[in-house]
Amino acid sequence: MPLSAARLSFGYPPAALRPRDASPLAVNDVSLAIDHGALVGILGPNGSGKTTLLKLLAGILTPRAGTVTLDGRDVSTMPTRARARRIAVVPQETHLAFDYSVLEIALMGRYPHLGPFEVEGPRDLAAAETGLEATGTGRLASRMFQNLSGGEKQRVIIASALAQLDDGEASRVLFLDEPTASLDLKYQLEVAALVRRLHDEQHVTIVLSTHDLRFAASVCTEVVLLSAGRVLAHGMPRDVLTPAAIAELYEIDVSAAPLVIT
Amino acid sequence: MTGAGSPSLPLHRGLPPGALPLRRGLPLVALCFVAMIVAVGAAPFIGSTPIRLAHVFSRSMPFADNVDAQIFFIARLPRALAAALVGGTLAAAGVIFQGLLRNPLATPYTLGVSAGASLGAMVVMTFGAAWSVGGVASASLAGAGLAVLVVYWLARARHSGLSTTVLLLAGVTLNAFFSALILFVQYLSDFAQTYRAIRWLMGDLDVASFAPILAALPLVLAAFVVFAWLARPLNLISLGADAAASRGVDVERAQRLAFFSASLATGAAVSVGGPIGFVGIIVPHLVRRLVGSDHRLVLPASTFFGAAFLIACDAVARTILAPLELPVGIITALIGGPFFLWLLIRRR
Repeated sequence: MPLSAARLSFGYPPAALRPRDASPLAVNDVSLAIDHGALVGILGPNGSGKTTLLKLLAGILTPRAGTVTLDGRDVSTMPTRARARRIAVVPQETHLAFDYSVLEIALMGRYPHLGPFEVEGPRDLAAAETGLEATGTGRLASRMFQNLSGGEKQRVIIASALAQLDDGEASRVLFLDEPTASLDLKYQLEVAALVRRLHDEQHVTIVLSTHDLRFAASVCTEVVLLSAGRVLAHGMPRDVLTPAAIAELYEIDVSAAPLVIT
Repeated sequence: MTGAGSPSLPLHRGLPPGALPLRRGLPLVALCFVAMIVAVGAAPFIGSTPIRLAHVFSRSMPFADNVDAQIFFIARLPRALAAALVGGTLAAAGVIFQGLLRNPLATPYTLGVSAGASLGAMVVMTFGAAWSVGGVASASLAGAGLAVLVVYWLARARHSGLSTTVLLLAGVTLNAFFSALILFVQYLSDFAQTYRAIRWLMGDLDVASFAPILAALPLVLAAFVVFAWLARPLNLISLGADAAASRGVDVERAQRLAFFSASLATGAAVSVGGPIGFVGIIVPHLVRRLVGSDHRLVLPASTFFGAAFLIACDAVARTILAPLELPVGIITALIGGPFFLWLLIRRR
């Protein structure tokens, strides 16, 4: 299995003023195996540990216990730049401290491909352009990022992540944290279409977190149900997303909320 | 996903290498460099006493009798070079601090360096007999170093990494605390000492020799080597710490290097000219309007433009009430206040 997690646990440090309160584990003994080319949705209610699990799998957070391996190599001990050439993360929202053009943002994905004082060359420009074209943002290249709509920003950040993964190396993983959460319906559909297209056209494993069941069911090839940091179920959407499982996951009476399942 | 676009996408011709934003900014950096050179060359000829170029470099007169040459080489050229060094350093350090704290309103003095430097200088001016190595300049540098270590220690305490929020809070708190200590030292000093201390706090470039510049230069040059390395990591940190980390930046190392290099460069600049205000925020803002936000352009352009800017401010300070020579800090503060207001109105 290209990407696998073995008995992963993580807890955030307790609040500074109340150090005696033991914080519950945000991710508790999670084991996962994700196949190459899969499009995995991690589903769960708010606070179930989706984002934390994503950051652990991506190597941004170091697990308290357990390991994440990519093609057998421990992600937490991979050199950061080597890791970044194979694993990219798109956060839920991006707030810039300084405004950059869309092309500059896309070129920033090339960071792990350049030496400390090296500047971007034609190869990097091509990778950035490819990323922008793949996300339909090529025409925005000279626009400033902060003037874009939420959906456009999301797509530009995805373009930057694609430029980051644009490399000959074997398996690459793109993580998307709540790609639709802060977007209205139009952009949700746009991003859903984009994710599906990326999965079909780019040879990248995609792992995304979401609490949108409809989105997960329509886009993902497999889903992981996460509740209080533990895996409830993992499998094909139609096998996993049963009314009983959803009721347990969200602690709701599904028959009383017919809109949830489609 | 190799370099070629997928077949379903519209064919595009590809941008030429000249479209790289970095390359398009380079002429503007060159322009700032030219501005600096022109300022260094012109400033020594501006002043209350006119001097003639032919006399300055005249070999027929001995240096001791050549008043024009004395004014040029002892008073004005060191002063212009000091302005260039201090202005360039403060502007660049401002860029680094703004990038580190992800806050365009940060200044080189936000994290307590200038308060530490001022305290060091005040202590030596008041109780100075025991301090013989290098005088006020070295004392201010030592004070800056102390402030840096205290702030760093506070920002590290109870955190695995370096928290920029704690860094900011610690800096602001230390600024207030050191200001209180400065007032206390002032209270203990006599009239002449207080006069000298207040003059130092205004920020003045009347160095009167090349020695203070040469003393500060090694530290400044070392800091600029680190700045050059930091330019690209700071670009990515603009996207957020996690985003930078996921793109392969060792964020904590970059933050640590940024903090120490910019603090020490600021300390060195303050040891030459005193705590001259606003250069570290006015210049980066103007330069970003010119070249954009890429730190690889903003840093060199701010350095050159900062040098030219402070030389120009100093020329104004020396001539506006001639034959009085105002401390340059008054001029930069007079420009800085309205500049901040303009920023506020413009941003809304």
